[in-house]
Amino acid sequence: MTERMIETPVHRPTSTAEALALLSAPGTEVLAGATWAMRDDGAPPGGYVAIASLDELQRITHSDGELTVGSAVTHASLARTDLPAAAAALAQAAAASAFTAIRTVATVGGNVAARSFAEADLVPALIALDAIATVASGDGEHRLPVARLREHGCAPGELITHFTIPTPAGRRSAFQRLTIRGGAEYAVVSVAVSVDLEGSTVTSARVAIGAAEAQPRLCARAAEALVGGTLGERAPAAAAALVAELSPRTDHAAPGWYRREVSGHLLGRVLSQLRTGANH
Amino acid sequence: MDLSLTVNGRIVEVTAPAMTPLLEVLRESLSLRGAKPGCNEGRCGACTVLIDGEPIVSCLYPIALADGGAVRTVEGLAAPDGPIAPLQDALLEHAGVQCGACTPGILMSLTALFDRDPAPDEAQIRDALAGNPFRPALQSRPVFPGQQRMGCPFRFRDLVAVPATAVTSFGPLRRGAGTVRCCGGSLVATRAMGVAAATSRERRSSTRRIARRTAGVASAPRRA
Repeated sequence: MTERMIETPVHRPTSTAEALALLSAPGTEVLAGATWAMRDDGAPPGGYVAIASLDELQRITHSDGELTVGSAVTHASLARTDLPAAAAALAQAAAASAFTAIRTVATVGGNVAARSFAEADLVPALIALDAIATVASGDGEHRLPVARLREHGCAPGELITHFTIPTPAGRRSAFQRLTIRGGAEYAVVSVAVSVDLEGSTVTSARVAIGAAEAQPRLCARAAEALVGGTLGERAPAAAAALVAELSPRTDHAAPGWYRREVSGHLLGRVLSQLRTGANH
Repeated sequence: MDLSLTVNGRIVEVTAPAMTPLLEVLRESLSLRGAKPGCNEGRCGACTVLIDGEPIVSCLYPIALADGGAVRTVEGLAAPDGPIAPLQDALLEHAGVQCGACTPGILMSLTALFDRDPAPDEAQIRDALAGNPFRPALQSRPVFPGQQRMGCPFRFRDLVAVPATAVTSFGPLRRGAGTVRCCGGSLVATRAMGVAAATSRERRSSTRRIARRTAGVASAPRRA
């Protein structure tokens, strides 16, 4: 714990409006579950603005084919919520992430905001689900896709307030991750898939991969390969397309070739889970 | 900042910098040394405590967020003059306590589980313990559904030998006149876990602090 970090003040607003007012001061940063901030050596000179206890940011609502998830919703809360099939991948990612004592506090907004966290589990799920983030500041709010938010980050004074996820009829989704020893460690590869089905034919698909590269992202060719047949028929072509499409990274957890090798198999498992409803 | 929180049923007032880990306040300001500093990055689970009934890793929990909350530590599982909790008794009975470094974290993870569901199945027990990957005390015992015995991926030989000269009394684990032997607490936890090289200054100094506190260990081990 550096001296700098120890002296950093933590402001505790009681409403989102107050949080935005505090964030308009220079040098401030958002503090949610703190699991990432506490491992970061840097500290914002203006202090943190704690938002995890704000009720307005903790809501999960579903109506009119749209799921809304507040940015301070924890992984534990997502994992125990019965989400519609179209958004099931998000609950599965939350349940598989880390372990109970982290899931208790870690938030969906924090997972997205930790842009250097390549292994963030909720991000590929949100990307595959076409989630749109709403970002507020003193000047109002704007909406942008999660992948773009990961790319550019929040500007000073901005706060992610919630994510909206379309849940049309006929859409299903699933998520799986692979770890070296199993259990609570970071994934070496994670895959989230969302498909629209007519009967058993895939009419559109989104495949997102996490942990394999520096940023989770959509894999367009793998998704294209799924369209036009059944999940079973199209799985081998989609896996081949995914493997060809990746530029995997090497780190202490796994070499790039390994991530590439297993990604196709992991996609196969996710597709099989979508086909049978079973979680392997 | 000035804070007020409930710790093991007692209201305590604390003054500490806002981003101080709850673990540090528990150990340094409140002298509750049950929760252990292991990896200091939320991986080993040795510092697990409950806040408002939910398990958290206290090394990653800023004290500012604990203001007004109810914290429960291993010291709060049994009254100082009362019998130990059934869970503690079960761990002792099945020789599930060795050096004691991982035991408080395991007890708190399982307490949260059993408070929520008195008869969890094997999958729930495994999930509840996923955050306590360092658990030599439980060795490779199989899981018996409905009983408080847990599986463990580590075998005893995975532990790094540390002179077992220190005998530490863990208050709540006291049984009759005897004490639970401890071979160096967190020192063992940190080394046995094979946690990635501790390059940061704070982690090195944390190891030194732990070493100083550990009677019988002359100096801190050098880590790459």
